[in-house]
Amino acid sequence: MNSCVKGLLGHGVRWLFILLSLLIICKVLLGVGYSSLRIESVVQTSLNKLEVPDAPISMRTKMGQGYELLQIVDREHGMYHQLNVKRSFGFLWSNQGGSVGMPIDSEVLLSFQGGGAIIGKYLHSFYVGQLNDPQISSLQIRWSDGVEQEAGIKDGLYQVARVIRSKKNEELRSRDDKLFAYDAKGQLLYELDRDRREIRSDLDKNA
Amino acid sequence: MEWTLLFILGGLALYFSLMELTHFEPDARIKEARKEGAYFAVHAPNQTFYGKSFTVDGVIYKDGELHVYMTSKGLFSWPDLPNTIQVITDRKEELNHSSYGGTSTLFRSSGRFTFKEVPEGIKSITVFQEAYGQSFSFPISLVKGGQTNE
Repeated sequence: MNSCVKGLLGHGVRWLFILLSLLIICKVLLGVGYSSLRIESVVQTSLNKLEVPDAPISMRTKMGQGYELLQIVDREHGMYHQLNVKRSFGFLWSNQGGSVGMPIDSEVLLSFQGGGAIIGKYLHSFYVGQLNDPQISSLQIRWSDGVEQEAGIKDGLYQVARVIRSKKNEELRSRDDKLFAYDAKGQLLYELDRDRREIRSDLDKNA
Repeated sequence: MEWTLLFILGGLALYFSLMELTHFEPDARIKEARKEGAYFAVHAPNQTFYGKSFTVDGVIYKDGELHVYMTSKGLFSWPDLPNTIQVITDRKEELNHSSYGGTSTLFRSSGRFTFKEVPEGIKSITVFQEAYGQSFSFPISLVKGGQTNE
C-alpha cells in the first residue's frame, strides 16, 4: 500500500515536471501570449503592447497566404487601427505588425492612407481611410500593376489589402496606386493618390 | 516512457532556462553609483499599465544624468516594460527622455531609461505615464538618508 502511494507520487512529480518543461518550451517556441487561438486576444495583446485601449474588430479582410488585415475601431477615443494577423496551422493566430492610432476626423470626406511590410518574399500592402460623403457608394483601388480591387466599407471607414510577391523596386512602383470613389450610378466622384491623400469638407470640396 | 519524456523535455526546458540566466548580470553602473551614494533604491509594489506589470528598482542621479531602472517579471505572461516613461521633478520640471537600453528574457524584462541635462538639486521625482485613460506613477525620493522609497 505504502509503496503504491509512493509510486503514484513519483508519477505525479514526474508528470508535473514534464508539464512544467512543456510550458517553458511552448513559451519559447510559440510565444504564448503573443499567439493565441482567439483572434480577439491577439488584438488585445497587440494593442496592450502598443499602449492603446482594446477595441472591437470592425472589419476582416483576407489577404491570402493565411494573412488577414483587421480594422479595429475605437469610437470612444476617436481612432482606428490596422493589424496584420496570420493564422498558422489553421488555428493559431499571431500578430505580424500594423499601424495604430489613426484619428477619426469628421471633417474628412475621403482619405487615402497606406501602409505595408515585407514579410519573407512577399509585400503586404494595404490602404485605409475614412469616407464621410453619403454620395459615395463604392471605392475602387487601382494598384500600380493594374490590378483593381473593391474596398470593404463599414461605418465610414474602408480598407483594402493584398499580398504581392515582392520584387526589386516594388516600393517605387506603389507610387502609382490610386483610389477612385463612385456614386450609386457609377459616376466618378473623387480620385486620390499618394500626392493627394485627403479631401476635407472644411477646406475643399472639389475633387 | 515517462522518464524519456522527462529527460528530453526537462533537458530542453532546463537548457532554455539556463540560456536565460546568462543574461542575468547586474549593471556595473549601479554598483559604482551605490559606492558614490548616487543610487536610490526603490521598493515599490508593481503597477499595471495596459496589461504590463512592472516596478521601478532604483534610480541613479549624478553628473546631470538620471537613469531609471525598471523590471517586469512573469512566468505565465510575457514580462514587458512601458514603451516610454515620463519624469517630472519636485519643481514641476519635465525631464527630456533621451535613451533606453534593456534586456528581455522569458521570465524577466529589465530596462534603463536615461534622461540627460538633468538639473542639480532635485529632491524627488515622479516616474509616470498616461495614455487614453490608463496610467502609472512612482514617486521617488532623491534625498540621501531621507525617507526610503517604499
